[in-house]
This record gives sequence, C-alpha cells and structure tokens, in this order.
Amino acid sequence: MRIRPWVPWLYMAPALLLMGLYLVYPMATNFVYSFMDRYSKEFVGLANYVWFFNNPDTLETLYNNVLWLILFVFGVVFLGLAIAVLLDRVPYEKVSKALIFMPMGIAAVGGGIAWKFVYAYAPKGEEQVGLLNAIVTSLGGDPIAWTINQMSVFPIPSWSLNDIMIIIVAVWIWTGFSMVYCSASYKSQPRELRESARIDGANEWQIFWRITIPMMRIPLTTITVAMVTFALKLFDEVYVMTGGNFGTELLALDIYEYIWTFQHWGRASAIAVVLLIAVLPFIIYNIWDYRRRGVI
Amino acid sequence: MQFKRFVSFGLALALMVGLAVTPIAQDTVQVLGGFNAAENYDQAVADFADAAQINYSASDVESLGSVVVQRVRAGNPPDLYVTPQPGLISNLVANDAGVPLVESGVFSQEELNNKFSEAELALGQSADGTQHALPIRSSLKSAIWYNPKMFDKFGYEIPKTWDELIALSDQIVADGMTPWCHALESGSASGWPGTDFIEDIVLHKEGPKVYDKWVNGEVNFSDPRIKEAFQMYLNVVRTEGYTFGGPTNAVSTPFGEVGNGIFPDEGEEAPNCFMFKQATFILSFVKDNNEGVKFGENIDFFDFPTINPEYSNTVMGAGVLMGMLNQSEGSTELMRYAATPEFQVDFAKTNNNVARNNNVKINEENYPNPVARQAAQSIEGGDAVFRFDGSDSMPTQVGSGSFWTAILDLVQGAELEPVLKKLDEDFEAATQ
Repeated sequence: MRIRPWVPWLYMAPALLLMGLYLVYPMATNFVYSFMDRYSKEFVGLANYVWFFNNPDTLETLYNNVLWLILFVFGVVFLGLAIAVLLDRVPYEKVSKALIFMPMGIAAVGGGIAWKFVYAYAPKGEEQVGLLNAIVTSLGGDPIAWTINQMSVFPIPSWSLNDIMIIIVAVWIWTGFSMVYCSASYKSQPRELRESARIDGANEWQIFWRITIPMMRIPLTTITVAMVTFALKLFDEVYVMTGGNFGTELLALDIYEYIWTFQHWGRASAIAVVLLIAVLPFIIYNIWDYRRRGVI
Repeated sequence: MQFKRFVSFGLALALMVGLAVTPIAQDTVQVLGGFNAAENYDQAVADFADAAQINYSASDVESLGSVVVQRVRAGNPPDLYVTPQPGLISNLVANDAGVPLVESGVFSQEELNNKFSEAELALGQSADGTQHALPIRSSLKSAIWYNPKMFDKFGYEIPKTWDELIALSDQIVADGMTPWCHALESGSASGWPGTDFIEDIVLHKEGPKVYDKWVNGEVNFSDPRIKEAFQMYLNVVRTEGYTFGGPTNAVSTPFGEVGNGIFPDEGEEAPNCFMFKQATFILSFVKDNNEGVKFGENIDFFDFPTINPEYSNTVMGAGVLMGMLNQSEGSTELMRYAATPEFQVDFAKTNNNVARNNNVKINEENYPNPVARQAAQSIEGGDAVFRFDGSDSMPTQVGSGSFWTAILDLVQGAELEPVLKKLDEDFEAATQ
C-alpha cells in the first residue's frame, strides 16, 4: 500500500500543534516582545539589549550566573561521580545512597527554607537558632549572616560568601541525581575490565582516569549539560533564601521581577532571549553528541 | 483504538481549555484583590449583595497588579479590582483600560466631593486627573510602637518631636540599653519598612507639597531635603548602639518579628529594645508571635514625632483602592456601595483599618477596636493631612524595586550619594 504524502503529517499534527502552541508560539512572541517597549506597544529596536549589557545590576546578575555555572555544575558532577565510585566499594552503599538521594525528593523551595534555618542569624549574645551559627559560636566565633554577608571570596567582587552558601544548598539537592546517574553507568561497566587492569599492574588512580572516566563519557556529558542549563535557569533557592537581594540575583529571577514587579515586558523578554542564547550551545552540543553516538 | 484515544484526548483537552476560559456565570461580577483585600471585601459586601441579588465572586491573587494588567492585555479583565498600589492606575491607563468613574456615570463629581476629601480622591486619579478608583480603607503608618510598661519602669516619656526622640534614644543608650528594633526582611520585598520610615521623615520635615513632588519625581532623591531625610533615618539605624543587633540583624530579621523585642525575656529586667516603627497592621503579627500582648497595656503606639511644627498634622498610611474595568449593572452597584459609610465601616473592621468616607464618625460603634479608633483619629480626625505610602505610588521599578534594595545597601553601610544618584537614574528611566 502506498502512503499518501500528507498522511504522516496528519499523524504528527496533534504533536506539532501542541509543540507550536506551547513552544514555538511563546518563543516567537517572546522574541518579538524583546524588541518592544514595556507595554509591548511600540518597537524600540535594540534598546532592551543595550540596557541589559550596560546596566551594572544586570551585569552583576550575569556574573552570578557564571559563578553558578562553574561552582554548581562542578560541585554536582564531581560529588556525584566521586560518591558513586567510592560507595561502590563499601558494604553500606545502599543506605548511604538513599540518604544522599533523599534531598532530590524535597522541592527546591522546601530545601531552601530548611537551609534558611541552618543559616539563620541572631545577634551576638542571643540564642543562635541557626545550626551553623550555633556551631560557630560554640567554637568561640562571631555569628555570620550567611545569606546576607557579601564578603568577597573570589577576585570578582560580585562573587561573594552568600552566593556560595546558596550554591551549597543547590548542590546538596542535586548531588543525589548525578550520583544515581553515575552509579548506574559505573555498575554497568564490566568489572572484568578493571580487574584485568589491576592484574596488569595498573593502580586505582590509573584505572579511574583511564578506564572508568572514558567509559562514563556519555552520562557525564549528559549530566553536565543538564546541570549547565539548570544553573542558567535556576530560580527557586535564591527566591526563597534571599529574594535576589544582597547581590544574589540570577537571570531567571530578573525575568520574574521585570514581568511581575516592574511590568516591563520588553526587558523581561530581552533577558529571556539572552538566557536562551546562553543555553543554546550546550543543548546543540548535547544533541550533536547524541547523534554522533547514534543514541537518537 | 488509536483514533479513539486521540479523540478522547482531544475531548479532554477541549474540556480543560473550556473550563479555563468559561466565566463562572455570565452576570457574575468578578472582583480581584490582593493582600487578602478580596477576602475581607467578601465579608463586608456579602449581605448587601444578597439583598440586592447581585452575583459576585471575590478572589485574591498574589502580585495583583501584574495579574490585572495581564488579564487586561489578554482581553479578560476582572470587573472590579481592589489594589493596595495606586501606581496600578497609571499602568492600567497605559494599557488603555479602566472605567473613568465620573465620565461613565457611576458617580457624579458632586457625590464624590461629598464623600471624600480632595486628597483622598487624588489617590485614585490618573496623571491627567481622571477619577479611576476610590480609597476604601487605610491603615496608619506614621506610628511608633512602644511598651508602656517598660517606659514607666525606666521613667521614659513619649517624645513629641524628633529632637526628643533622638534625646530619648541617647538616654536609653546611656542607660546601657538599646532604643530601637528594626526589621527589614520581607523576601524579595525586603527593605520596604525602611522606605516607610524615610517617607514619614520627608512628610513631617518638608510637608505634603514637597512629598508629592518627590513621589512624582519632580523633586529628586539627590535633592538636599530628601538626602537629609535619608541621613536622619540612617542615623537611627546605623548609629552604634541604637538598633538591637545592629544593621546585620535589621536586614536579616523578618518584618513581622520586629515587635518581639519590646517584651523582656523571662528573668530579664530590660527588653531588647524600647521602640519600633511600623504600620498598625503589625499588631496582629506581634500578637501571633508573643503571649499576653494587650493593646494599651504592654503595647501601644504614638504618632510620628514632629520635625517641622508647620507639618505636625501630616500623617502617612497605606490602604486599598477600588476601581472598575468593566461597567455593568452589577459592577456599578458594587462600586457605588463600596463608597458608602456602611460598607467602609464593615470593611475597615476586618483588619484594624480606617474608613475613608468622610461621613464615618470616629466612635466606638464604628471602631470597636481601640487600635483602629486611635489610627482613625490620626488619619481622619481634626485637621490631619493624609498622604499615601509614597513608594506605592512611585514607578514600580523604583517604589517596588531599587528604593527597597537601596535601603538594604544603605543600612549595611553603602555610601549615600551614589545610591541616591542611582535612584534618580532609575526613576528617570522608569518614567520614559
């Protein structure tokens, strides 16, 4: 039987319609809005983009996202991998993995609030409700307002202590995810390979770098790309813990503020486009990598 | 089989979309509010609506301003809105929405003039003076709270002027205690209690005319008069020993916990602090967080002290306004009812608020709650000159954005001049 040329399109129509409605249309509208004024009435050319790249506030936000990109992605991937490989060697693996995975079951907002209590601050001499400050003061130190303190940690001024304290929370939540992913891949590697390497005289370090890692390339790139996109669009933890104040603002939070608080659709859309462009290379790389390996 | 599944999926989808866009009933008046205003509105209007056989549905949403604007843009506005932000009106006008109340015949100008003062009406007007909304209740912000028991115990007296306030603060510090509690944390809105403080200083120091000009952007933040107000505020918050826990504690304490400090901990002689500045609604927070709180006994407030005697009758507050987006028989009647003394008394009762209709007398019957009565006396009594919380009338980018963050930066020690300069730039950019 010959299939008429329009038949496949008919079958794809519902999916295409939904994709168009939920993905293409909003994206296109957003793109157009980013060249318009705050009420989306008149075209203003590149004004919103010029504003974005010349405004110290948005630039600081951009730097913050870069810090997240580095610390959060590295933290999650490194810890997940290390835990997966190390726990494989201990008898209490299941319990430990369950514990580490548990934060994944908590909504990011819940995790943020829980850690807000851990970081809670009371003035010196008062009872410290926050766990971390209770520890610090019991060791004789002065309490620190962890989510507020903008003490510069890296040479770049907007990279400060409170940013790192919030990144720790996100790493705490997402490490379990990357651990499970790495662990599954590690366990699917044939043990014989590592054993024969051992017999040939390779030490554990060499086995890790020359056998384990190369064989885990696909899951590692997938997690890394997933975490990169995640770091770029992160919103919840920061919204809950500081509301974007004290120099912890992120791009996604900026979009929210420009739509909901400032009602400036033009700028919000422009930030969204910048965010999209920032994520794009990673997604393209991911798809290219999948294609190359024949996964899709 | 496949086809069937597809059809049923399609039907389900159509049903969902249908449910989402179908109005509840065609003649139902939709009232949209924020900050529980609609919930309170519901309580105050239910009897009237029953009697007049008006179907209405009142609901609250978070970030009301943007929801209303979005629904206007989507062609599906609510019929009436109840907003705490007068700034919304200009935003609606910019989106070609809003029913002018006089031109459309909902009220006559004369009627409005009988019910409200000129300043009250001005709150609901767009830039060109068209009446779009009416104030339906207010809360007092020019209040400084204290613990009368502690004041008695240490022999302190209520300061009448700013100088006395500072002298009292110095006295408390000299006595080895802390005069002020200050709390600025409020999620992404952190900093707003500080803007209130500065607004009160500007209003009491420079008077309503300069205040209005400042809110409208005709007087800059960098203007020496406004700058001085910032400095006076920062003196209170940043002077060593003045605020409990210092600036770090001020920015990290949730605003609702500000009052906990005026009650001494068990076994302690002195409280953490003696005073804090906050709106009248704070009392419910204080009562939730502390046991045995009794207004007039261990908590009370005094009016914001006089700075310039010429403007000692000024008072600052917040409140809600009601406006119309769709005119129908039902929405007209509800709008008209919202301006009556009967409604305003009921509506004010729900939250220690003050009615704005001039015909509401300040007595025990209308204000059974002593806090509300005292607040009503401050706002509506005598020759009081009322001004709305200025940051709510400024462009949102400043009033709900950089003004808040400026407070956080300044309290933590940022230099004043560059911050004020940036506020001016933001203000200019937002009005372009």
